[in-house]
Amino acid sequence: MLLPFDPTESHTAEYDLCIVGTGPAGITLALELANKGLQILILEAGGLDYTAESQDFYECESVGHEGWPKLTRLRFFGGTSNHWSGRCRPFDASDFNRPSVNSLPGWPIDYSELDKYLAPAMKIIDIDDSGGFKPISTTTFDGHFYPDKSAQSPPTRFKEKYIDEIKNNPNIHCFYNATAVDLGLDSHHISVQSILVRHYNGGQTQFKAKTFILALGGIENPRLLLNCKSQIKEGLGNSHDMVGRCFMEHLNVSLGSFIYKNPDQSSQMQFYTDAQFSNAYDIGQSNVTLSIVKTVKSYGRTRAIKNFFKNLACEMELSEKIDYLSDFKCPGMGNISTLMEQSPNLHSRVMLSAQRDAMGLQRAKFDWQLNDYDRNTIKTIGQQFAKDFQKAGLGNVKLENFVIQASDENTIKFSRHAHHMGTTRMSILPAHGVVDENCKVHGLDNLYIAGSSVFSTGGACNPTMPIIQLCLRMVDHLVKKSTFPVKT
Amino acid sequence: MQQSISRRLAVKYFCGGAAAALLPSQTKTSNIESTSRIKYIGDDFYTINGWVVTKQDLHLSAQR
Repeated sequence: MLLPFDPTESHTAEYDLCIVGTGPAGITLALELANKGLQILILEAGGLDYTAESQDFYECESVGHEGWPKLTRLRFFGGTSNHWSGRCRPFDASDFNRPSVNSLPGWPIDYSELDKYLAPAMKIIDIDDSGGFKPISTTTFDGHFYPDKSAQSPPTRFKEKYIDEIKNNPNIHCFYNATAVDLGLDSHHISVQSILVRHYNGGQTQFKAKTFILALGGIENPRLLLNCKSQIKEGLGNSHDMVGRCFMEHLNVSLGSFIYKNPDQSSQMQFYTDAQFSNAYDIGQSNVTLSIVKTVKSYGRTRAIKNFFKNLACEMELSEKIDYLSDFKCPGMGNISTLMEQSPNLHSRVMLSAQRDAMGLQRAKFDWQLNDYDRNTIKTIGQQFAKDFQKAGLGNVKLENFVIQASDENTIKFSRHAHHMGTTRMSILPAHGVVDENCKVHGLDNLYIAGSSVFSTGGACNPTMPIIQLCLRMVDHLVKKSTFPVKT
Repeated sequence: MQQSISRRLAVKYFCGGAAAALLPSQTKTSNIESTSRIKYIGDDFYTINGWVVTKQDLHLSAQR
């Protein structure tokens, strides 16, 4: 059942599960658990399509690096999958073997905990099981970089693909235009009993469920937890002031430019850091991509610019994109970009702003910061890559100045990949994170978090695939824990 | 000159180990200035105005 939320109706039934959010995480969880016989309530704050009124709730106060938190997300049914690019890559085993980064522990679970869900996750986002993850180039730089392996989802738009299943599933009640504004706790403050939901018109009502899952993304998950302060002033799950901390992005660093030695070489190449290399230097992982604009002729960039504007998704970073194109000095020359891991860092965070949205909730205050660890990752990977490229006889590299010498954050050319991670990170102890190894909020019996906000570290993989894997793992956990009969 | 050098010339210069030829000002500035633009980045690699070159490239350039 899929209905617009009507706050004048009362809802006395207690659902088995309430899921907040209809992005890839929320929809995956809802369908998997409903198909096992659980009664599911889904709440979507936006409508069925994009509206400026809904999107305005994603406006943030930004005080750190510009991460475009409003434009990189979408607030309507299907969530950010409505403009997702579709590149997929699972985590590496090495991502789960890192003891600590910046004195914060890494993942408390083993790689096998996710890997076993890879095949079913691929099916959900329409990646051919037999296709697997294939490299687009084969060149290896021994001990440092190997060909990166990714897979491409069509991309799956969760609204288009799954809306009818949601609508027709008898175990699902999905309400849209329904913004979650508060979670009601029991008198001991150890379990969530109800959720307060508000309509755009100001009307509101409560729903009850046995278990609650927030699946709102890396900025809204902490924002809602922090806004739930009617019973606990510091917000939910925040007894150690960890909610919203450790915001991580994948850094798109423009390391420099290159020129192939072979004038006929025009292919794109993608590399991934070898774990031995990143461990030896204590740096993050990275994808390194060499892109070339072979259609640039006689130094005229008309065609490239025309294509660029045709494919322009939104106005984000327009000047940077123009710089990127105008950087091509001659045919055969290209740019080196990255999808680079950012370390968990207590000072990079999502907080609450003093500004309020139209529902009266405090907006997110977004403070994206890099630190010395990240700067060292950029420098080490950039320099090593340039040396290896040259040693392999592929051509020559010109590095940006900030890759060569000590640089402060403001001189580093980087942008975002729209991957918001780490703000409710997974940890064994509440002093180091917000959720436990089952994605349950520390200190609360029945509140779970789904999505990349639980990532302890971010690796250098696009997050959608691991998000789905973690959701499937959560399904198994909830079924195992369930006290009511479930279909197997 | 560096901004508009053709690909053919760039490859030629690099392949010949004459990285410094890309840097027009190198022959016009003092030794101190040109030396300051050279940074050692380890493993016998250097950068000149950002371009990564080997020790051998530098040696060949000096001989020109």
